[in-house]
Amino acid sequence: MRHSIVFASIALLALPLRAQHVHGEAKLDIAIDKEHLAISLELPLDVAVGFERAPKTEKEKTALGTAQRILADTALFLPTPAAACKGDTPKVVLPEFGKGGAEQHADIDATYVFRCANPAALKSVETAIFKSFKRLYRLEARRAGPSGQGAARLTPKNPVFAW
Amino acid sequence: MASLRITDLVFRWPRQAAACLDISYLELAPGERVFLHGPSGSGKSSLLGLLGGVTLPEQGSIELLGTDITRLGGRARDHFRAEHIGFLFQQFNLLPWLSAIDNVVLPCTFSARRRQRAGNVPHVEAARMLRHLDLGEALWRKPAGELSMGQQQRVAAARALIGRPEILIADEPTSALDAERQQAFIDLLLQESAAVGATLVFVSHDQRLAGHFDRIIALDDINRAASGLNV
Amino acid sequence: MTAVMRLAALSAWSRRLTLGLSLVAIALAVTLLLAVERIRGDARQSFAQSVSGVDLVVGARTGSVQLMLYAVFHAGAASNNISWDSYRAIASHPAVDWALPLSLGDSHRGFAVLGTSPEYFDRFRHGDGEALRFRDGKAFGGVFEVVLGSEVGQRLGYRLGDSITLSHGLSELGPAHGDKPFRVVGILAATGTPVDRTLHVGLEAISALHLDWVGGAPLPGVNIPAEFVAKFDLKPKEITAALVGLKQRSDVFRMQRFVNQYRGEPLLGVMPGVALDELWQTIGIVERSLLAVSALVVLIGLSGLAATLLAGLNERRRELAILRALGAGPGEVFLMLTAEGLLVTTLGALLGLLLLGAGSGLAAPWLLERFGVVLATRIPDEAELALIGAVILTGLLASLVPGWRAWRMSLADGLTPRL
Repeated sequence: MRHSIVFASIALLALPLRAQHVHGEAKLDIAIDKEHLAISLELPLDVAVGFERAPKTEKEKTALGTAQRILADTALFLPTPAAACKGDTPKVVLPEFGKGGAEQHADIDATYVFRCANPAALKSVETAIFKSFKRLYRLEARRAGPSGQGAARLTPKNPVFAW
Repeated sequence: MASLRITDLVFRWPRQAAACLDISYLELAPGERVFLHGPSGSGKSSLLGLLGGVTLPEQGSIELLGTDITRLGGRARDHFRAEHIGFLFQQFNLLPWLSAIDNVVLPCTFSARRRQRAGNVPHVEAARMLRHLDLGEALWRKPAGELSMGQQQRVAAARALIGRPEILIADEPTSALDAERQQAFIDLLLQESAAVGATLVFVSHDQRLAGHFDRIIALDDINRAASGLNV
Repeated sequence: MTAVMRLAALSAWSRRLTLGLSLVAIALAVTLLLAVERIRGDARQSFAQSVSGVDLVVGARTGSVQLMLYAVFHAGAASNNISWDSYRAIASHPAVDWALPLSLGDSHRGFAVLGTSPEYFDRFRHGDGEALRFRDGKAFGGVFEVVLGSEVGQRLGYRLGDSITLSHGLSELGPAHGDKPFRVVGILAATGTPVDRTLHVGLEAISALHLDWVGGAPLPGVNIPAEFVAKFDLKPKEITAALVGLKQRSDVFRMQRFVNQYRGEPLLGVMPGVALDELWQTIGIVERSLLAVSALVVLIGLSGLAATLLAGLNERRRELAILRALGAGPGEVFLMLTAEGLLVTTLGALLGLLLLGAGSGLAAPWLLERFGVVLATRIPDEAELALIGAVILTGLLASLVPGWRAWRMSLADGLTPRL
């Protein structure tokens, strides 16, 4: 394997792929373990509500409340229907404001846990999140489970992660 | 029943103001051997296209063997041509990559009728004709492209005559032959068309060849459009 | 109709030289197109097979793909090492099922040498969870024992008991470890992964080789003979990377966070399946461009065919007029030309497929050696058939042009071609 210049250069191209906290971009981790499907979403506050600090006005407070309510809905993610997955109540964690200064980036973390009656049929997850958050244009999704790992870039035009 | 009857025929090339052909009446009897004289540009090719059913006139009728081919559809005209008309051109009559004998039997692959009239075994009939036309047996299997011009024209004559079509149309078939062979070839055509009972329409610009025909027609005499064109 | 088609075939045969050239051009273009498609698919397949059993690759902080290519494929530039303590901390994490230390950097005649633990042969999984198998011999036990990947053994003609020496660095030009020969104790069965092209030794062997070395070069005047090596402490202080398997594969996100936030030193945990998908996302553009270029080459081939047919048409005006006189309609003339183009395209596509079969048989060893891509010789899959279908359809469309032209010509010429 001396002749690896091709690979090395390809690898260098791929380096900046998963940069931290890019605007308009959120991260999604999908973990599958037996009948459990766990989806963790890391949504930058800026993408969710348009600002990255504690809400100041009434309007901003309402916006944050709305975002939280939208995210607290399991219908945001649709696993393969044939897998017959039922979602528990999602857990939505807002960033703690006031710590670490106003300039810091802040993310909303949401976790969705599904229990699937037929996990063998679980071959995809579709998301409706792009409809609710217009500022979101890219979702970097990763998956790990008994069938291995994978990654996909979801966009409003392609909101399905299939494997 | 006339072999050929043309009535009130007008033909014009697309996008041309003047008519190319305007023939009020022409009738040929079965078995009649006609020399149709016309200088180049007199509308000979157009007339041949019309008789073959490849083109349609603007008006008028062309009856061949009692069928008005101008009333037939395109496919039916193609079929009619295959069944009833033998064609003989100036030169390059043959598909050069086929053997001489395969060229002769071609009409029988396009027309069931001519195949039947050739005795259903076209290769036997073709061999008989080629022998009759004095083409050495050694040449039969040669690709037609390798034969001399005179040999090629004899093969072409055999092809036009196989399956005894009622009408034989020859378009300057001797123009590629040298002078002494021209008359011999014409005599052969006259003799063979008489043998199969075909009406022969021999088209040429060269009036010296007209000697042995039953009837001589000058295209310019029957074509009313000619006076305007040739003055 | 059948008469015309039979004549069309004979006519085409009479022009077999020119049509044959078009056919060869199309065949080569189709071969190129299919080869690009096949290498693309097989590269993904073989890379995925190589990492299928590994949940996390741990190494020093570099690029994620870089680390993975180096640790799994032994390709690209060496990264920094990580300490043995860090490795122990990860290996003893409760979520970890197994962890394999990797120490890279030496080579033997162009093949990478991997220092690892004997556990490697039990734990490593590839393909659909298959374990490594020994074709001959057993795992290394002593310090100067080596286990060969199947291809290393085959290509270099080694057998059990043979004695070999390693070179420092990945180049054959690097300084040699000639004073410390290794004995071949095992040869693995073929896996279709980089394992086949690797020599496996114990971590202690790597330490032993470099006892008298400092900073990548032998210490001048110091030479510790092999028989005294055992007197030294051969416990590794550093390794290049580690492969980690988890008890629950879904725990990988948690484990990756643990690795990336490890306090002892900056570490990087890479999910190999994710990194590969991200790699394909990136080079997908290159792949698509390659595919587009080869599609263009096919188009050029088909245009060449259409041009050949069009150019030949003038010489065939008499032929068409003769066929017309014999009773062929303009529709049949159209079909004749179109069918000829379609026939040449189809034969070209089939020949291209054959060439691909022959070519992949020839190129497969080279691709495997240089790029680690396993090129399978197999019947065409759905995607390849779709490509061939597209080629033939395009060929049909291209053939409509001469067909249409012949149709027009036969209408205009009638029985007397204008020459």
